[in-house]
Amino acid sequence: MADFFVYISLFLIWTMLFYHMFLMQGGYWYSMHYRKKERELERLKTPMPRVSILIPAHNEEVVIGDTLEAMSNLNYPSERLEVIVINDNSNDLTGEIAEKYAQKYTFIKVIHTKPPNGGKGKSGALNNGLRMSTGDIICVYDADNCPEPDAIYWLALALVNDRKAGAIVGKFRVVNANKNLLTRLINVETLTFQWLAQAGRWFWFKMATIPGTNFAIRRSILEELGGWDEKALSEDTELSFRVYNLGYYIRFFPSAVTWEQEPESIKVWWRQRTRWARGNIYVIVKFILGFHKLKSRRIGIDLLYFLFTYLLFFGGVLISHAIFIINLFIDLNLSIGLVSYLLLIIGFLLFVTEGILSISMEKGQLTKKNFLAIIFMYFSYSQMWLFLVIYASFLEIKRVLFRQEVKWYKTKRFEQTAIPKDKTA
Amino acid sequence: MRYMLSILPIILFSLYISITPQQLNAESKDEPVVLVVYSSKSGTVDEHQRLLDMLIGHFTSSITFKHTSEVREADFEHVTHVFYYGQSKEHLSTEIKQMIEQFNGTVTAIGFNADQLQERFSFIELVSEELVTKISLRSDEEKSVSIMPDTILNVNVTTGSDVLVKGSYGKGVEYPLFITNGNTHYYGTSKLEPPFSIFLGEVLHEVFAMDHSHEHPAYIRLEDIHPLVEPEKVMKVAKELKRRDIPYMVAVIPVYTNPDTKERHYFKDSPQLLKALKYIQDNGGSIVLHGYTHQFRDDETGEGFEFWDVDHNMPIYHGPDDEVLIKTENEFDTPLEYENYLEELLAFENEYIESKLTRGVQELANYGIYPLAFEAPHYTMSQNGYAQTSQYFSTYVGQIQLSDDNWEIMNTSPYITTPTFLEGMLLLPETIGFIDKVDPKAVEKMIQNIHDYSIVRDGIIAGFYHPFLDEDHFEKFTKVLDELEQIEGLQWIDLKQMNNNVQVEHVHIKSENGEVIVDIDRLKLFFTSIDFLLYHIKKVAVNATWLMVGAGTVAVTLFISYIVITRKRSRKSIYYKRRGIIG
Repeated sequence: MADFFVYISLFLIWTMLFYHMFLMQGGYWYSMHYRKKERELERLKTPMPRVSILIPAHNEEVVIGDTLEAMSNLNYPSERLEVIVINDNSNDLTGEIAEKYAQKYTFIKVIHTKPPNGGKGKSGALNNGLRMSTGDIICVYDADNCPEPDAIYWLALALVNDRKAGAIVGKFRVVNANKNLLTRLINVETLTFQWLAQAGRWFWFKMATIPGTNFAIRRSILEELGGWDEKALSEDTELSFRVYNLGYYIRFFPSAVTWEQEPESIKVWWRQRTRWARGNIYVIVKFILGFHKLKSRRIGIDLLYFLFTYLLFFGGVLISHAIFIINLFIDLNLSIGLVSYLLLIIGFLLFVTEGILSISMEKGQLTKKNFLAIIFMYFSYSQMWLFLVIYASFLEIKRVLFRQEVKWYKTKRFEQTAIPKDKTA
Repeated sequence: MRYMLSILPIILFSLYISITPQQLNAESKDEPVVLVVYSSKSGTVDEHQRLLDMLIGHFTSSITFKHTSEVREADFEHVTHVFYYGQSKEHLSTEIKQMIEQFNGTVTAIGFNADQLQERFSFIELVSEELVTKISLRSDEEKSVSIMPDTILNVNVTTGSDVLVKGSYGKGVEYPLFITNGNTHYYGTSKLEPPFSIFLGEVLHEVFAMDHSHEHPAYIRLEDIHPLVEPEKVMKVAKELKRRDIPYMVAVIPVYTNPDTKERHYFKDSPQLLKALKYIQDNGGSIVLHGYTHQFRDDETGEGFEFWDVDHNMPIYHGPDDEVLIKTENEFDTPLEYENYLEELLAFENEYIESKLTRGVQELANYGIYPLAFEAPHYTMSQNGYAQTSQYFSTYVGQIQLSDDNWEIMNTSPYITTPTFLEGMLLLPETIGFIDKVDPKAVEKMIQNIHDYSIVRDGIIAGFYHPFLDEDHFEKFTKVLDELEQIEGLQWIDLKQMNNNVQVEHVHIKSENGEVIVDIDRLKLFFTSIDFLLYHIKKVAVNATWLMVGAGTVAVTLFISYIVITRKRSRKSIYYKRRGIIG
């Protein structure tokens, strides 16, 4: 019986690992040639489209100034650009700071929303912003983001020249990566996510997930979809699925780079991730229940992936851990033997090499400290994910059972004392 | 409907001359038809007649046994050879005498009372009973066996008769033992066990006028391979036999039962041993099913008896935990009730045997191991048991329990035979014994037996070895092999070259011309027991894990090389930055 569980957990885990290997391979190939696309796009000399940048901001006084500063430095024709800050029910200086920038730059606008129309979370704020906007292309940035000057240029250019693309997703980098061990680990995680999952899926399946920030989407699509799902805690994943369903693909285009802040304390990290995990569980349930109605079967790939991650892979890891612990105390007479150790070692090496490969794609990231961080990450950060999924599932089940309202937890921002010198990708 | 038929022919590399003695072809037209008229106290066929059955079964499968009290004139119709077996002294009636004496064909008298058949047996005159210590062939004095002093019937022989076998006591004192006169023959002892059977077996070739080729079929059987046997030791012996180019048999027990913990071990828990068995199967070895558990009640596998209740010295007429009550005829009101009772007992035994053999064959076949013959644990089984076994197996290997009253009454035949009590099964007897770990003279005894059984022109030389024994015993075993390889006319039996048939529910295994043809209805087999399916699932799972190791290693290697490439590239690359768009 114990044998049975060993194999089940192995296959669950390794199905995931195989998928990741496959994605990593795609991500690597994509990293080799995406620059070609830049030259291609530039040769087309397409007129630049009108772009509206939406920045939902709820109590963002610590970071909004830097963000708008970065917006003012964008390399984009200002007559075709509008930046809309949605000051959503803030009770700090967010509105004032934003208004100051709006006075200085004509393309920056601020809208202030209060309940009942405002204060309903990010999706609500974005929908409010969308109603005010005039651009054919809508870009979204979180209030803690500092896009590089060319970010909007690349997002807009890529979207306008690609009819099949419903949205273009840029790359985000961690501005406070060297702040502490946690941000270092998050940095590795975000790079791995983008080069393995985003680039890999784009390479193989022409898919990428819209992250909360640094992406461009056609206004027509948003209108057709009726904007963002205000019930979704991870509005980005949810939106991605609906975009696929219209038959578009979502391009991952790493030339458009933004720098964002990551949580500097475990507590903030935990709350942010809980929201994401719950959001993903929400999306899984929503789309699996309605899978038969979906037009694009491509979503199936992602849905399956999510399902695998949150249910099967998670279950596999739990079983594997349980067997490991039980076997310490009671001899389970496992017949698997040597191969299990080899798999353990190779699984670990895969984790490490995929992490290193991802960071090595970014200039200056392949450092000894980061290398050690990746090894440490396997035993710490990654294991915390288990507890996170348990907690998030618990919250979601509770929400459904007791019909609770979703509450959008806004990630706490940290003041940045020093901005890294080299902010180029 | 046969949903899933898989035919897995196993082609063998060894090309041994097939041992299919022509005399064993029961279908041949001119097969002798034998009537055995016997005198015995019991009045029914027992171990004595069965010994004779084995001896005659070498020449024909058409043998009828009739006690002197029940034989009739009609029994002699179409008969070509009559044997009168005087196992006990009896006054023969005139009718019997007439029937035998006036029979046209060949008549052979064995043991007592032949002197009463005065007309036909006038060439002998019973003188006395004498002690002998040696028996030898008249034609070749070298071919002799020394025995413990034993009595034979000493006769005076008239001229015109040939003495083919003689007994002697000391030097110079000789007595005729087998005398032939035209188509009438006489064997001067009622004893048919070895070594008497060796000499009778040899001269029966003259009685039937069949001069079989003078070759000695031989086999080595690796015994008691159960799931806890160390695969390395089995492999060592297998390799030695392969090196010597000797085909062999392996007696396999699918389940090992630990007598203390009652725990059962299966081959699926010992993949290395299964691998060894498959190696054996593909490299000269043939599989023989040696019971399913080789035990009954709480006995240890290999030690216990499986088809005989040794505690009560009786067949398996009851479950292991049932109270054993043996009823006698007196306890029944009518003979019919007693008969029904006996039938019930036999039905129990039949079902027991069927389930064990079916499960045994199915389990092995599911592993890809295909038994071609059967050998009962400790050679013990009732007559009904053999009959039941013949429904599943066409070949039986080993010695034979000859009595239903006592398992210890067992014996062998000096050559390959099809006695009637095996109900069509071919018997490949074991004759030379085994390397007994408690017997320091085991090798000498085996070598002696080898020479004894080579007295018969086509005598079988067959023994076994426990491959799990230590190095010393292995060396002894190789000594026996050396000896065997010296024997002139030795022909190793390769079961796969023979026509064997094994048929149980959902599994049919047959062999011919070195090929093993297997027909398994897998779907139905899986429905029989989920274990059969689970074994395959686990096998796939184990292979998959190694595949995972392989693929994972490739990926890790690739990623490491990518890391190196990326590093080199980023060092070389000139910092790229787009210029000049107005903000």
